[in-house]
Amino acid sequence: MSRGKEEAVRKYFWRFMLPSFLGVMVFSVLPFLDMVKRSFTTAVTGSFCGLDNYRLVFTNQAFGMAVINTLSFAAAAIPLLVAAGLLLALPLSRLKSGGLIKALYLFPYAMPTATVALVWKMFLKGRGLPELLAAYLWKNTGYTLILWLAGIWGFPGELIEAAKVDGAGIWQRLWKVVLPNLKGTLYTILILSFLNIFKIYREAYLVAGAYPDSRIYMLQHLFNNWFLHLEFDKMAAAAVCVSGFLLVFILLLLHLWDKD
Amino acid sequence: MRIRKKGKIRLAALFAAALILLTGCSGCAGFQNLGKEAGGSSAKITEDGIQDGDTVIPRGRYLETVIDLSEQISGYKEALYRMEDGSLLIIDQNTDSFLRSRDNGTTWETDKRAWWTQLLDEKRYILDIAIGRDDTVAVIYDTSEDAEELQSVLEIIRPDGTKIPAELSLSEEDNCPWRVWIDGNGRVFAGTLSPAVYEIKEDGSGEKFLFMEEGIPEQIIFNGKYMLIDGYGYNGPQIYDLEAETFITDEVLAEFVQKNYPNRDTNGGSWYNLLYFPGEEEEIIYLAGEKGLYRHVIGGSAIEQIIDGSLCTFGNPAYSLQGMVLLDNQEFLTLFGNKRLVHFTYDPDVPTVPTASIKAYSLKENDFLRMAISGYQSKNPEVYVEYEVGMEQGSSMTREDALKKLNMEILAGTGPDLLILDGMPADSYQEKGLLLDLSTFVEELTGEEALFSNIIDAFRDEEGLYMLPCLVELPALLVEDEYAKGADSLSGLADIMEAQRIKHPEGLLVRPCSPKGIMKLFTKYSEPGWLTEKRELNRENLADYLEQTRRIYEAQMKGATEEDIRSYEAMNQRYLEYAGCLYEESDYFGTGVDALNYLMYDNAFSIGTVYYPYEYAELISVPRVENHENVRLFPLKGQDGILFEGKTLAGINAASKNREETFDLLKELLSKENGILSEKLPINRAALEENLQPNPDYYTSDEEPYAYLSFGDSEGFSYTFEIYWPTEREKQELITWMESASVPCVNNQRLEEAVYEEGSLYLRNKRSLEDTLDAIAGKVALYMAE
Repeated sequence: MSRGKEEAVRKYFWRFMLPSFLGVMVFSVLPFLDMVKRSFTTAVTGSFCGLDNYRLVFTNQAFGMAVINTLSFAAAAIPLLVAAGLLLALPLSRLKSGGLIKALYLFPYAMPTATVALVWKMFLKGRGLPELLAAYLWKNTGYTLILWLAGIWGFPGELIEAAKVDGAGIWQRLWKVVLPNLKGTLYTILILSFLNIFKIYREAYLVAGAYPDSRIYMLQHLFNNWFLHLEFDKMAAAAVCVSGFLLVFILLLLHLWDKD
Repeated sequence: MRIRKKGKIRLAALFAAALILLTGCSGCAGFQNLGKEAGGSSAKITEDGIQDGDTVIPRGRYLETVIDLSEQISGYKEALYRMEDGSLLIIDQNTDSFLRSRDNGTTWETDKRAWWTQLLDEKRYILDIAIGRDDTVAVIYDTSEDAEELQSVLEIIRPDGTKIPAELSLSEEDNCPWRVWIDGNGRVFAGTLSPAVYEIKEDGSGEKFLFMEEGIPEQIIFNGKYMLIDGYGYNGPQIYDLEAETFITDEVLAEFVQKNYPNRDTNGGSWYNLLYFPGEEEEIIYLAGEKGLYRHVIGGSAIEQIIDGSLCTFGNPAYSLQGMVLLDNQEFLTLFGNKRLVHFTYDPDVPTVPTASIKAYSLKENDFLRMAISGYQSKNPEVYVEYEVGMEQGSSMTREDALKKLNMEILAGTGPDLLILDGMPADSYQEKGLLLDLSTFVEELTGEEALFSNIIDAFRDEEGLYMLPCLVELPALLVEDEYAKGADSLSGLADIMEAQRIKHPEGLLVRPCSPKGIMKLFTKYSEPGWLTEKRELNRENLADYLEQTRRIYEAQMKGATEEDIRSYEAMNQRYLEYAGCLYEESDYFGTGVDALNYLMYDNAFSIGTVYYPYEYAELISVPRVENHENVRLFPLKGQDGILFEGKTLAGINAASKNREETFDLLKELLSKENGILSEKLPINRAALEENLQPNPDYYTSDEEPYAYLSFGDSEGFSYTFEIYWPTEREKQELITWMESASVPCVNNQRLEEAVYEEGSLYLRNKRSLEDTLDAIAGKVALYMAE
């Protein structure tokens, strides 16, 4: 690339990046820094209290329970979601035009939370973990399917044709050709699914209230209840911890990906 | 290139710094000083308003002066008129002479009329009265000798004293004349119990003048050729052109009225939610209501606000609007229901909107606070009190949503200055340092401002006093003397229930017929003991509560008929339709001790809270009823003393930048005047003593009934109960009760919900006690762990 072209690319790179960078700074980074500050102060008076809030959070039984529940739910829901999405995407990817089917699968995702809660109440009697898992899968599978389809349609068909010519069977083509090429998609799906775990709180809240069955008591329940009781200090400390965990998780995932 | 790069970096750094600064400042808002006061160091008055730097603050506002007429009028069914000669007239249907003022309402003299005095002496019931500008009077009164059937007659009394009885040929639907109006030219119109309006001719004969498709007319005013008619269920006021003899449409007026006053009530002409009165010119009408005073030109495109109700007495829920007239110089005189006249005069130098503001907040609409705001606003026209209600009536806002919004404001530094903590997590607010210590403030309240110290002390802890109730309710038990021990324990009440069930094998012993209703009724006894000091579940106390309420429930249901249960469920359903929640979940459940029900249905006892003096009068009148001589009213006791419920729990935001103004508002809230307006049980001692005084218009002696309470149903059952005002001894007993109440009732919503939900299964005998306790513990474990 010539020096002039390089310069032009750099110029346009910043012009395109600046608005979103500023958006992230103003609406995410600065509030996060404010939250970090608040995690070391008292809720209303704002006096410095050292690590007291962190100590309170780590000795809080509800926080421990919410963390375990959220992680357990993620551990159960994400593999199921990823697998379900892929299993549906593979046959659908052979269709030349699957617009209507895709739209149907996306339908639950587009539904308002209140409607999802209503559907849950209508069709599922319980208010526990299996029902929450079903609601999560019902709502998110379509979205995951679309991501898988985008990944599948995105890599060159010649690779599969070449594998066929080399005598690879259907399973070999799947394991040796398709899946390794969908690593990038899988990474996106994992991150988005994990973030969606936090969003399922809305349905759980509408169905079972602020204090649901203890197995579906998630971090968002705790944060919501703390917010109502003006426990901003504990909330800030817990949010910093959760953010730290998420950062480590994402970096770890990235590291594992890069390693491969 | 390098220089340009550096410049960009600097620019970016500056931009980022500005953003950080802006973001940081966004949380600093607090006291909104909207401008400086007139006469302040930097402000000067110009033709357009008050000049403060580059800003011009608009000036000119109506201010009010209160004229006390408590010595001259009764406060019930009065009307205010302006006569042709400019004098003012008040007609009070309980006072034997009219009142006339020739100095715009400052002083009043009696205007005796023999025929009127005679009517009142004969104890005729006055249905309605109206007076024309020329002094022509039209009056409708009842001539029947007994109360069984109404026989109303309409008479016209001309200024020279000539009486003309009106002869109306009424249809069966019309029934009888009951409303009367006179226009500016002395034309008399009468309304009946049908939508027809009759005109009464000079000779007393009447003929149908109008038929209102919308329903029975309740309010009619005249201005020149226009006749404005309004009534219940009308889409808006109807305007009739008397000259063209046709209705004219005024969509602007109709839309305004529908939007702002959809439920207009006139209470038979004794007060008005929305009062119309004629303006200075034929086309002009004024509209007065809680939102203020408005001016409208008939057929015009606008409704102009003249007085903002939130800045004066119009917004005070304790002041019902009875009459209003326009005086010279665009001044107004308003007659309110509590014997007060308010004179509104325009001050061109006062800022149109107050220059400073404070904010008060309550989760639900609070009339007591609104009264205090109105009182404060009248005394402090320079400060605007913004009142925010978290859950407006009819809105879909839930408690949690409202609290989140409030907490967000607190977090942003724009939280309210004064908080009414009812229904809020008050303990958390105190623990988090949101609330200000009110100890010093309370110490300064002496004389007429003195409060019941025991009530205050019950809310005081080692660190200070962070909230205090403005009103109290006293949990009480109405029961036969021999069962007095029931007032001390839940097991005592269960004993009474079982004993009464043996005496009365059929019928209801208390009102609720559901496990939740029964549990909720007796929660006050036991709830303080449900948690240990370490905030752990006290299984022993909870088990006792469940066992005793189950005994009560079983005794109740043993004799409850299917009809009783159906009737209770129907009542729950009615509440759900009209109030959006079941009766047993409403704020009214358990409020009041139902004396009438106790007497009519021979209940085992009646339990609830005494919340206003008139109700106390009812309860202490029960022993005067034959065969109930040994019935007494007992204060409910908790483990540590006599219980009370604190209402309108007030606290001040510790971060308030307007402490002085907020303290003044709190003082107004706790004032004697505000306590009297409430007519309840205020913690202001002088106000309570005043509220215990009977209305002299109804009180004759301790031995004569003060009022009657009657009940009748469609099946012909009727019951009348005579109510006597408390004697001096009984008044003193209530004051002593207030002085000894020391244990505030606890209300832990989360815990209660869990107990009611799981406990219902135990009461219905569908689960063992141990399992129920485990289930409750499981339900509240999360809450406790948080």
